[in-house]
Amino acid sequence: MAKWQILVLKEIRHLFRDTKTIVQTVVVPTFITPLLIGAIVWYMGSVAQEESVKIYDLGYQGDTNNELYFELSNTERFNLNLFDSEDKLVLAMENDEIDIGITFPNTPNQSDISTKQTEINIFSKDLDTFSQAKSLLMNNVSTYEDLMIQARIDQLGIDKEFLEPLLINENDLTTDKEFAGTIIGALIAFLFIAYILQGSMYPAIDLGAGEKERGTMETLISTNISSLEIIIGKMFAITGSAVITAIFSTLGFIVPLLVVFLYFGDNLPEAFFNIVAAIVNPVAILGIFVLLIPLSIFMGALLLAISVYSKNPKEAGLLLGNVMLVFFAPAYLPLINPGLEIDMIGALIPCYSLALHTNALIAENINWMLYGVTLGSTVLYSLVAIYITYVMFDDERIIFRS
Amino acid sequence: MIEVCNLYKSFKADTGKKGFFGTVKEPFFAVNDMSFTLYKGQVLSILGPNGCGKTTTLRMIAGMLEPSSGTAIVNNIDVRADKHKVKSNIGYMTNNTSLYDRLTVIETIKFFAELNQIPVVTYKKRAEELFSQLDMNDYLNKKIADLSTGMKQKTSIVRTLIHDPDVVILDEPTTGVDITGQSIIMDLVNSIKQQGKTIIFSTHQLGEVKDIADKIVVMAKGKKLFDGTTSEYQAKKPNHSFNEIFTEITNG
Repeated sequence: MAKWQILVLKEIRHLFRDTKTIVQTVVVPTFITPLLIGAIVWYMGSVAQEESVKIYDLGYQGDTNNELYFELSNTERFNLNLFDSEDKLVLAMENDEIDIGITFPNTPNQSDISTKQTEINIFSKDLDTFSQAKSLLMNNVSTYEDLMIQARIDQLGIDKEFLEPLLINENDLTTDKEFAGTIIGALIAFLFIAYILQGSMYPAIDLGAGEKERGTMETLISTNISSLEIIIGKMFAITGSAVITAIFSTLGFIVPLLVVFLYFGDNLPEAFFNIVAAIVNPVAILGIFVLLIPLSIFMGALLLAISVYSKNPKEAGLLLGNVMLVFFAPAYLPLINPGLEIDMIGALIPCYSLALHTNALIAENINWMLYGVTLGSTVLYSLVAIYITYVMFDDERIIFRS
Repeated sequence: MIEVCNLYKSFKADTGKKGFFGTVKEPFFAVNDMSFTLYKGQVLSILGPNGCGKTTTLRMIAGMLEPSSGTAIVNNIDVRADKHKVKSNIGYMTNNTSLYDRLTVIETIKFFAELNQIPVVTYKKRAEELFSQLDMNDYLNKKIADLSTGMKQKTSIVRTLIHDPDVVILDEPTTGVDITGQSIIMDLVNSIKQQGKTIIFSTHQLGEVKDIADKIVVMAKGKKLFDGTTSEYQAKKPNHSFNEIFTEITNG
């Protein structure tokens, strides 16, 4: 067995005997993250469900002899409260005694209908994003406005089409695969980058700055093992830990999805099946995996270089935290801007290119030339990162820096 | 044989003065013109106060630090020409236990034996001998983190000797070890000496030196203040203790 292989085995054994490593690479991604996400989804779902049947307290002030008041008083989900002044209604809103308020000071008479605008004031607190009170009220107001428009059109004796010269038919031709690629692809790439960094960070600190602080680096250097063998051994241990994190993280999401399929499969919409089928595509999985390997090595080598440079684990943690932002930012762009498409410059940017290639692989419209550019450049970055780490290991000012 | 020829090592150290880019640093010599010769089978003890350059000297001889100038020749191999070959001839023990806390004693020794490419049969035989000699057999499956300082130190020694090196360098091997432990370690050093190995060890314990060392080098502020045999050292003040002679040499 080569010396670097002996070192990899030792490092993996040493790392995974630490509870912190187990928690970081296995427990958190497999159980804690899906549980947290599940809890958030469950909470949001239950709040939305609660709001969908909730009866809202509606404050009303003004004339009651009109169609709008009639509509509101017949809406089952409104509990109507009459106020004799706008000030009292506003005070009730401010004290959270009612959910929403409307004042309708002057009901238009028959002659006003064809000439003037009539004022309606709506009072709401828009902080509660789940509340349906405002949309319910606006539906009623909109229905009332439609009645008024229709009355004006009738008075003028014109056809409604006269006011609406364009008949717009919207046809969204986005396929489920494209939807999966654009929305889910960027998210998958972002999550993988997060998992790799999560799985690499602690081992990088432990095997670099940690070993310097404990003095074991000196022991290792005193033996007949070259700097290159040391960094290859450590880098593969870090990458291995990242891959283990990625595997457990993926399992953490796939297992709950399988459970959903098994128990609620009959009630799931067809689009959901199509999206999952687009993701679970062998070419897409292989394509993403091939890009992830050099990217993991690049990240592992770079994190190790920074960790080795650091005086102690505290300094390493601080520096690596900043480096993480550098990796996260380009991966985040396709997530907030789903319309982005890859070009030659983009293909050279790590993480950003992975996110866009993941989109394209899932949507089955990959540009293999640009994919090759990304693969080649990431391999080159990995080699440069390994070289930098090698130079640092060979520099006694850095290795004995404390 | 070890030949140390006009060895210098300079570092940049903080002066305490503030400059535009932080504290101003100036070069200083951690080791300043160190030379000595040690023949095969001899034991050399390097003595000196903390920070006098003992560890830096030992690291340069072991190929872990590049000398600023001068060189060390170990078994006819120039450390500047081939530090890896020098390292394979040396067993170096650092001045703290510096072992992997989460490995057991046996895993630690196996790891270093494998790194030194020793055949399994040879490694097992040698490990058994060393474990018995150091009375460690009851601790082999314990994790390093669970061992006492003395037992960690013994593990370090076994790790240093597992590849049967011709030259053994021990940087303060008895630091933090109780009196019994010190005695065991020094017995082991004596036994290595009997096997004809060349040994360099740094220490603060002058009692150890008198019994084992053939030669003594006294250092202070990077410079060599004395280089000679134990008899020559004693001859400087025949009726005085080693400690008194040391104090006199270092105080100039």
